[in-house]
Amino acid sequence: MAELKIEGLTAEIEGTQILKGVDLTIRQGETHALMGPNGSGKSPLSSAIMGHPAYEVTGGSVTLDGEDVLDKDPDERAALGLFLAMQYPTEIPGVSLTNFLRTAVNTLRGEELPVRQFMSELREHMSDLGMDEKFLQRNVNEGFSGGEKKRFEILQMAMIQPRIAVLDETDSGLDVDALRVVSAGVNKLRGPDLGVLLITHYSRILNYVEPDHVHVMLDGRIAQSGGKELADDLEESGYEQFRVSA
Amino acid sequence: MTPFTPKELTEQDVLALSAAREEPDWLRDRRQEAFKAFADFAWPHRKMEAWRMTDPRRFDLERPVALADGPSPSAPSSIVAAAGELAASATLSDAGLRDVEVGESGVEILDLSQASQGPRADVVKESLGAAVGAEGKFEALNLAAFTAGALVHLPAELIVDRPISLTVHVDAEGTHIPRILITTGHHARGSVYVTFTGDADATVIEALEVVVGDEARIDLVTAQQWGDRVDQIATRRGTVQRDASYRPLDAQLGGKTSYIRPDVHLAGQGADGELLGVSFADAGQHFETRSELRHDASNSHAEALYKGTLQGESRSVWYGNIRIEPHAKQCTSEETGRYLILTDHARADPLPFLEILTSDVQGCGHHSSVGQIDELQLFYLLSRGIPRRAALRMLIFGFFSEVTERIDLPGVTEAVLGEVADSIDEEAIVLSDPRRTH
Ligand SMILES: Nc1ncnc2c1ncn2[C@@H]1O[C@H](COP(=O)(O)OP(=O)(O)OP(=O)(O)O)[C@@H](O)[C@H]1O
Ligand SMILES: [Mg+2]
Repeated sequence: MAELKIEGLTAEIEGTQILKGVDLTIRQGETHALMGPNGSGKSPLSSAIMGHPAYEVTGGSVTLDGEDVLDKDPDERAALGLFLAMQYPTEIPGVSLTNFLRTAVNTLRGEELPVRQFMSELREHMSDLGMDEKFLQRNVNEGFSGGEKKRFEILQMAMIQPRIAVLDETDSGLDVDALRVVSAGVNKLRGPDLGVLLITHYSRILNYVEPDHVHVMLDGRIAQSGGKELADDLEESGYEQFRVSA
Repeated sequence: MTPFTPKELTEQDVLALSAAREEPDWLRDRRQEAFKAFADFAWPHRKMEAWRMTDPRRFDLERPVALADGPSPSAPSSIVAAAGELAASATLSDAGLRDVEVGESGVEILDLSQASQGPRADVVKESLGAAVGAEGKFEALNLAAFTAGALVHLPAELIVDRPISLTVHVDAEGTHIPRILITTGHHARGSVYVTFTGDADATVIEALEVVVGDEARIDLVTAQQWGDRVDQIATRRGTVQRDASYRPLDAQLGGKTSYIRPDVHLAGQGADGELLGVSFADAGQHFETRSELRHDASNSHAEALYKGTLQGESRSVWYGNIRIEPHAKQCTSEETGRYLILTDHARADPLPFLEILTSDVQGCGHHSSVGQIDELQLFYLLSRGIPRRAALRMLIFGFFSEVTERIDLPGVTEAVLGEVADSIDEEAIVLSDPRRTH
């Protein structure tokens, strides 16, 4: 059972401290929701986990099954089984989506998947996510709408089969129907082999993707942890209550 | 005859050369006329507009011309090797044309001096100098004193499916003055790969002219694939007749200095020109490309698209011009130059210009940019497990894709990207700062 353990993680960007000591443990098979106001540091946390070049980790540790993650390059972290669905996926003009995905899948699964098998898996997941076949002709995120980008992130997760996935606001920018489809896509991937950290502003998605744990982030720290009821509580009373107690 | 140098070229040298090549009087006269123009032009210098970015002193003009052939090239260039079966092929070296193989293709490849008095004399007479004349110092020098020339002729209605390969091989020290004339009759179609191979302390002053007949189409690949000691000046121009199409791709990969004018002259109604270029400038290399899309007839369309990467202490200049003549109505024209700087100390200058002499334009525009590899794009690929080396390659190929996706000539994209991949120095790559783009 893989375990991602974050302890006392601090990080800064351009000399400004953004993460001020984050503690969080996510195991394969579990789903955690992370909520918090704008600017509280949710994306910086997910970026630091994946090794985003803009964030400098200044203290604490992140380990996967005891193995240090922080001294590794992003591709090595992916090879360990980490995945990040980004809040703002990057457009990469000129790089074909299929070529990109095939390279990623072959690298991470450690075997040259036969093209036919690759394509049939891809088509199946695309249809689950309500993605048109025409996407196969396109370049990575280039000209995608906000919702299309989010679907494509989940499609990658489905193809790559990570052990621990961080989904940074995968629900924002999705209309009600899309939210249902994407949630169903995520649910289909959940199981004993996948741990999920779901970052969101809205408890709406949590009605579809039921979390085992909910955490509230405030000002670069986890201010409160609890069960699903914590999300409902937040929906009613906002973040102010935690600020006072924090 | 005694080898002359470009610097000291005399009329006697020109006459002696023509005599040594056993050329007919009319060709000798034409060389002589070009010599007069040559003598009247001043040598280029830094203060001339066209030489602001490339110091003409980079070209050693005191190297004696090479007139004799060395051994044939031992292997074809990577582009020709990747092309598979060829329709026809030949090598142009210092004493003239050799290793000609045309098989049953119907393509005619002839030594220019010999063609000027054989059954194709009329073609040479009509087309020699028609696209690239004695219009400047080096162009006049070439026409007056080309040491070796090739005629590639596609008779009317001939359609050639496989590439025609012409290798310009330089392996002797000195000055080389090759001239290539490609002509077609009406409705002919074919693709010609001109690859430049070999290496020596050499100055190459080249002229390449293409005359595309009515409703004909020529796809041309010019690929500098020689070693890092060659300095080259080239003027290449396609004159495109009614409803004809000319699509040259320039792959600037090798050489030390390369100063190239790839032009298209849209001479007939509805003519179409698409100038493409990819370049990879590595440490010590200096490239300048000066493209002109000249609309000389109505309803003509043209596009220029040059993309290059730079690495180490290198320089790439693209000066693009669109000129639409007053009588050329309803034309569309677009030019683009984009450069990707991979490491420190490289510099790129894309400089687009427009000379629109009519108000009746269908569409006209220019684009240029200089950038670096985007660190966020790289992070995205890495985060999906793609190793750094493969990810960088993917981004660089992605940069070139705007050009490569338009190429449907056998072997070309594959070979060009192969050369690019082999040249990338991953360790030295400097990325754009994500904090600025966050
Ligand atoms: N380049 C930067 N320089 C300084 N501060 C930055 C920079 N980038 C981000 N920050 C700060 O980091 C903090 C946290 O970042 P961010 O806004 O991504 O958090 P978040 O919790 O993911 O918010 P959201 O819910 O809006 O996605 C913010 O206060 C933001 O202003
Ligand atoms: Mg965020």
